[in-house]
Amino acid sequence: MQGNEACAEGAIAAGANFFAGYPITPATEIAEILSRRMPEVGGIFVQLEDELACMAAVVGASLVGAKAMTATSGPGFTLIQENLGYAAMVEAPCVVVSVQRGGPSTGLPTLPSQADVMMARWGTHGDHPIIVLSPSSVREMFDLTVSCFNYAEKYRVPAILLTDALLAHLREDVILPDAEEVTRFDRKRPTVTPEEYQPYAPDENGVPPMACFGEGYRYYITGVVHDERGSPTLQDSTVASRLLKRLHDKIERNRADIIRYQTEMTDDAEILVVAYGCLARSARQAVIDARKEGLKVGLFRPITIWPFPDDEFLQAVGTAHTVIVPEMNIGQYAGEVARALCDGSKGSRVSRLTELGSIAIHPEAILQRIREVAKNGH
Amino acid sequence: MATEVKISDYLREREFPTIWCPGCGHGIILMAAIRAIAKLGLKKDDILAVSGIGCSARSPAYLDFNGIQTTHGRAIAFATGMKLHRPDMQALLFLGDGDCAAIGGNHFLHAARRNIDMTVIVMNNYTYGMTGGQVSPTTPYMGISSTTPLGNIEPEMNLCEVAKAAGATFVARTTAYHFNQLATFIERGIKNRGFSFIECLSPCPTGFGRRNKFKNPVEMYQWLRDSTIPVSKAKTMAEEELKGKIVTGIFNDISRPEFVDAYIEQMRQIQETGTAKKDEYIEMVPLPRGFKNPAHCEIRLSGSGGQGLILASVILADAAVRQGMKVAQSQSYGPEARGGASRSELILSSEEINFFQVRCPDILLTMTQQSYDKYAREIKPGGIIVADSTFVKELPAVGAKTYEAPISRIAIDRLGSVLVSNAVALGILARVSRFLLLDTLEKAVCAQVPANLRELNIKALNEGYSYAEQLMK
Repeated sequence: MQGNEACAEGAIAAGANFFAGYPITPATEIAEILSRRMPEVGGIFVQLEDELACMAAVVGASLVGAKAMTATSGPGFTLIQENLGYAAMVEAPCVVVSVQRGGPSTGLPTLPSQADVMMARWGTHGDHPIIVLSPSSVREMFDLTVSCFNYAEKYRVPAILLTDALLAHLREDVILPDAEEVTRFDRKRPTVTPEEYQPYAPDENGVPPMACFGEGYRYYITGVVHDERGSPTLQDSTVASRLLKRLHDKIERNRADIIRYQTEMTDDAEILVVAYGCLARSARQAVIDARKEGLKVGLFRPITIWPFPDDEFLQAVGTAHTVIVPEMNIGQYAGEVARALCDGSKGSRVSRLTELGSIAIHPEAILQRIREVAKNGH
Repeated sequence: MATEVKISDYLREREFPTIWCPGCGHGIILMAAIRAIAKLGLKKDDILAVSGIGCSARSPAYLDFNGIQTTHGRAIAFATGMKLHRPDMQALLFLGDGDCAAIGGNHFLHAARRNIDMTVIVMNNYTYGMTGGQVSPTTPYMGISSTTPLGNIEPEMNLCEVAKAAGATFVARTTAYHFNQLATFIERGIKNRGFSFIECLSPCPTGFGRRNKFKNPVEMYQWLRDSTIPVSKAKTMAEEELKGKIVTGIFNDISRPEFVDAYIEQMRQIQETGTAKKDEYIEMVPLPRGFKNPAHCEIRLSGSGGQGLILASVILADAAVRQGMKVAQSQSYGPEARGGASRSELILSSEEINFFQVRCPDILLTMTQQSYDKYAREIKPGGIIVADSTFVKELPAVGAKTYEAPISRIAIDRLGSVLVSNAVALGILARVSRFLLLDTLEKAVCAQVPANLRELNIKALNEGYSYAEQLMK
């Protein structure tokens, strides 16, 4: 099964019933598959005039109760940023799949990249909350698409599946779980009457129960800063800071649920490799090979890449003197790794291993860097 | 007036006072919309009031419906998503002229073309009012704005003509002065099952009027009263006579299939014909006694787009899974759907695969001279190259075991179609690889190829296999 196919099936398994898309390499297969699968399950597939419209329709559908998704790549990911910010502000659960390709601009449309990792975090304007998951296998394309829907519903936040052309077009032998084995989470609904309902009053978890339009709870939704009743305010800084703090707090206080990661052989590691997405597998191979040479190396693979898993990462670092970060970009995530080390008062050095030519970094290249770092002691 | 309307029942009064300036026409439009909704007896819970950005965009805040102010220009796109999921609800959109025609122009065109059921009211005040009166797509030619101090050198856009040309099924124009007509148009727009477009000219004394020689708001309403011509009368007038006039009335009122209805109809067809997902489970085949899969094998299929190499690699991957191997298949291709360089790759292994790109293939298929020239030298020493001698004429030695076979020629001459050259190639690969079993490949072909082409492809597979048998003798 192909990565894009697993993603589409993951969406169906998660209960998605709305997909809006626009053709773009290397994400098109997701739309093609869902154009057949959505009507089969009674859901909506629509191809719209551009990605601005796709994201708008996704958010619109979500607000009337749909589990909605779009899938795109770099240039389209740029366009969806507008309404991605809106979704974060009005707390509309939704899922965006971005299959990274070489950039900037049209770049290398058919080849993989990891150069949108920062855009996935900060692409839209303003201090917005976001959850971004990074799969490393075809099976994870399925599993993490499901997780994206569940996080989106649970925390009323846009969730992004950030993958790449390599994984999206990769076919691997996978066995998918049966529908009943898949955990689905649906947005929490209000228990109060429409008269008592305050659309942006948070529950004990920081997340407001969500009434969908058409269910008898009439209220007003706006991208303008708004109070708990949904009333817009253009001047009130108290309301503004209260809202923004809560939008971030609902993610922060639930980190234990949201942060997912994998560590291997980190206990005695003197060198730690941090890798995500398709490169995590190259890194894993390199770490296994380095261990065979007696080098004390471990692997930290963030599955949730945003929010950055600070505590889990720092624990994996332990006493490692160097953190190697292989990436198919100019070192975007390595900057965040350095930030986390600094915040955690760690003296470890960051060694960036970057690739800008849209070629996956070979395990041998990572192993070579591990050897160099081990030899030099930093 | 048919119904006595208690306006306050439809207002969200805690959001008052409005942000609109004295003399602004937007409040009148809001009231006309309420009049139409009341007359139709629509339930407040069933109405989606949708807007974008600008003065017009505050409308849903003041109305006690399901109100949503979206982003600039995107109201129609948001409403498209809402209507697709909840076609039973009524979508009433309040747009500005810049909102609809400039930043939202694309959505406007395509929603009209789709004929999706929504009623769009454009509150056209000739200007970007909220930002202080800049030129908009509907500002009259040579009109003064804060960004056209010497006069607007762009001709204005005729929104109703555009809506009609794009396919809107109900199109009408009136002004905030003509309240009763406006309420009637909105009512008819809502009743139309399709894309209804109502342009309402709305005075903006602050942003437009004071820069364009209107002494006060009253003069603007007088101007709307005096310069409008009903569409029936306009038809009898010369173009010269219509200069500076505003033509009002209904420009289009036709019936044509609605978009969501059509989608739901197709959905029902799909559900009835039961094209439900087939079971994708791939069955493993028992391996012959003494047979062993290779520990690791990298295969590259190369040629040009249209030769079916990606499908061939998918079939190979399918077959390898049936034989119990771990598989990673990937592909790369040029922008051309046909004729450009095409390459697909497979890694087959008994262990977990951690790197998916092939660097030195054990087996290489080249279906064009170009691909031979490019990839032959990357072959693993002692590897196997299969070349389609129909196209590959020069084969400089590269230290590989090389088999030349006129693959495309065999497909044309013996099977009657060049389209199955990929299957012929697979048959050859199966034989020369010594580990791809013919019967698993046949099963894989059945799984991956449409039913009507299975027989031909299996024939082609066997043809290739026996050709290779001869080659190896």
